[in-house]
Amino acid sequence: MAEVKEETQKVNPDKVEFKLEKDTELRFEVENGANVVLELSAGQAEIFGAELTKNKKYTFSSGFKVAVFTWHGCQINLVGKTEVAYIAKDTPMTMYLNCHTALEQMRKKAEDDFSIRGPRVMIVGPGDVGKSTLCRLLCNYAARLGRAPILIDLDVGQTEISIPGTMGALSIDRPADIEEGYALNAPLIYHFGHKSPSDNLKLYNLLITRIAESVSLRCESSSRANISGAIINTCGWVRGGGYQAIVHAATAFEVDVILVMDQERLHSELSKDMPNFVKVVLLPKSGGVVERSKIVRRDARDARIKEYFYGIRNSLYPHTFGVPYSEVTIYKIGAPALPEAMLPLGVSAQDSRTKLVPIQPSGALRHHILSVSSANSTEEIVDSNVLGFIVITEVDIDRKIFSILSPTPGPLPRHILLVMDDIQFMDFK
Amino acid sequence: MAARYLRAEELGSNIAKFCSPDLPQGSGLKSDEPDGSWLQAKQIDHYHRERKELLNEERVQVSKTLTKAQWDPVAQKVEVISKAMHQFWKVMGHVEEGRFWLQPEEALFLMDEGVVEIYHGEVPLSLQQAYGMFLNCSTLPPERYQVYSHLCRLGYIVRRHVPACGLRMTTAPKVDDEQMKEESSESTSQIKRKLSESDVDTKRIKESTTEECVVDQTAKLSVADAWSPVPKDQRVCKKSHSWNFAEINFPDLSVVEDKVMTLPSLPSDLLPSGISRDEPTKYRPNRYKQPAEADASDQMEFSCDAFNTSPVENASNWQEWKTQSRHKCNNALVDLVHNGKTKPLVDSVVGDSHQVLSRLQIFKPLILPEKSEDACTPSSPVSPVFDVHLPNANFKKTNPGTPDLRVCVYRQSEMVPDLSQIVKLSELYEDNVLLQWAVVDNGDVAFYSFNQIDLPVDLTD
Repeated sequence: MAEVKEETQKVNPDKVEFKLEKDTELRFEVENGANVVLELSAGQAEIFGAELTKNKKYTFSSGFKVAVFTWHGCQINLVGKTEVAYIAKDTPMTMYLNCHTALEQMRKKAEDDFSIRGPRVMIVGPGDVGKSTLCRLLCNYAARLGRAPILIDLDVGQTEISIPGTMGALSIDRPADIEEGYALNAPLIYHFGHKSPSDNLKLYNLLITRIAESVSLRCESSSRANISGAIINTCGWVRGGGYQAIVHAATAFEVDVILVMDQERLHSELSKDMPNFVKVVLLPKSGGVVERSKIVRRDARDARIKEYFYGIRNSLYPHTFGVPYSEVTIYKIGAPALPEAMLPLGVSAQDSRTKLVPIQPSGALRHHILSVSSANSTEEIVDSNVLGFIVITEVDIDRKIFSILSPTPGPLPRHILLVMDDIQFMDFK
Repeated sequence: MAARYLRAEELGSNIAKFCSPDLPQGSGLKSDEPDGSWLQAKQIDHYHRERKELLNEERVQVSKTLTKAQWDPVAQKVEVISKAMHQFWKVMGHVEEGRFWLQPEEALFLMDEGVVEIYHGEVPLSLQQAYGMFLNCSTLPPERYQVYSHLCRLGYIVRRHVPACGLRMTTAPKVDDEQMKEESSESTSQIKRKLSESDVDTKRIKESTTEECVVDQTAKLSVADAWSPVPKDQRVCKKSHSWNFAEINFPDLSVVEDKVMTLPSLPSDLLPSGISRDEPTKYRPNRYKQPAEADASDQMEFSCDAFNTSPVENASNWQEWKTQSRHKCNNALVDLVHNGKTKPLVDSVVGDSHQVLSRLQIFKPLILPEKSEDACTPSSPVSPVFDVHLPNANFKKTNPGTPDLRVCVYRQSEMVPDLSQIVKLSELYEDNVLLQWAVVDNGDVAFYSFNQIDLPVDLTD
């Protein structure tokens, strides 16, 4: 790596002062079980595009990876245990900023001319290259200029706008909070049910189409959203079916720009397969991105779910109540595929992956996460968005009652629940 | 008939000519096609002359052997007045109300053979007159007579088909023509009623489909409403736009060859507050060449262009691209196949195997009507015309027995009867008498029959 690492005094529980020059970045990780308090004492700085307020204390809990960037130089104080903390001089931030200005130019054109739609940009790349970070950066910069772009998160495993196993869209009208992330006002969430698109690619593509329809309706109804455009985050699966899904998403959302992070192969493939009027750009990844192991990813998913119910600093208090079996109907989307040879002539096996499978109440449902579908009838389920999530904490087989953990007090707003196939949550404090 | 007298030698040659058993050979289909050659013109001319001569031939018969008969225009039959002895009486004619009658085709044939002299009123009919009078599209179409005479000349005993004979119905009532007509009209009206019923069905289906469509739309709207309850802004442009990326400058690592990339200064109105980029900055990408991945699909090169699905070239926005690529996707391989001389039987069908199979099926699957009462009546539009018996010295007109063949007559220009009619007809009779379909093509008679065969079946144990 070309970074010039300025290793500072490690493991100093006391206050550490960093002086950042122009266009440099302070990167640090919070040690496990520790908290780090950050304070900007002089100059201007931002974290993933969100500006820091001077002399305000920001607390980061364990596992957080933070990069503080400054365009003009600043001074930062850190208090707490950091795993590593260093200042990097070579960052691709200028590249990202240039991307933003290009998008902003397009937004300006759309603003002036009603026959032009705002830019729709899709960010693709393999895992752990900073796709979500770039999305956040672009969203924050746009929001800081008063835009309201739509963030679409197709990364079902590590989604930033809801819990894992879902995909959806969120309208951004102010920069994401430095500690808490995006302001989740009325996100549109769809139930996918798996942590990887490969588990049900058919459903994945179907939901992409559905979200694209909703987004275009949103753009039709609001000219601000239309001008601001959309920022689409994808998952890190870029081969085979994953690549097909990317192409499908690009077509469904009718993207104008594709930002490819750090993979020339993907860049050349997309330049070949995309129409001429789509700009495919190769961008470098930041030297600061850290590869996340499977365990880290799993922990991140758990944390995400815990955050949904309990809030970031255990600030929320979810409700626990009993729901009789008879009050809910539980489904799973996607039956195992049948070989075509086993079917009668002329019956296609195509739709089995989006078929509803009723689930009988049983003890196996314990610790499973269920989405509360907004659908009123069975036919609408696959196409309907999700109202919220619950966890079945206990199943009382004798009394035929589920104990559920819910963010709101009972009763449930709808009776149709969709079970997440491989995403569970143990409710231990 | 003949008003003048013939000399002995004339008479002899006449009889010899007339009694020669062969008719001049008819011409096949092929020789009717004119090729404008001298030879063909000659042949045609010869053929015509031969016919003419033959028709002009005076037919000489011994007056003692001539049977006299009277044409009854009301009954459309011929009544025999004085009967001379002849072998034909064994197999032809029938007795009704004590009188001996000939069917018009029988009379014509016998007249042609020189057995009968037919009077209309007081005047004997010439052959030409007889043909003109007896051949009649409703009672005796010409092709029916052609089949009749053809079979008779071959020596078969041909009778008008008796509908009741060999019917599956155990108590076969004597069905006369009027009854038949009534029944047929009844059955057609039934068919009509059925048709109108089916019309109603399709209407119902249409209604239901529209209902479904409506439901679908509302469902979509409800999803959208959940997220965007804002009233619609009419000024919003839905269409994707073709951007001029020469003006809009995205930093692209893939086009940079140098080690250092110069990024331009940025106008401050595009930047969030607190950020400024007044002078160009240099960015040194830490690029490393990714090791060439040994991916089999990358190295394979197909010689066939169809596999290299190149993107649609001349689309300027997504709408165009989508329609074009859909078209391309449908046609990429199909075009290739269609370029050659031999074309596939199923063309450009993109669908499931069921569709392809139904396309390949020249014969549509037949839904036979249930064996109801009308299946037993011989009132279907197709019915045999003649019962044919093999030459038999012991043949009795009053008790002909089971015929050896039943013959239906068709003109070549007529539509082939559909399978349901054929099956229905063959189910009508319980005896295994072969049903022949005589097809008359410009005077040539060809016989066809349907055979039952067993299709190969997979053995299962």
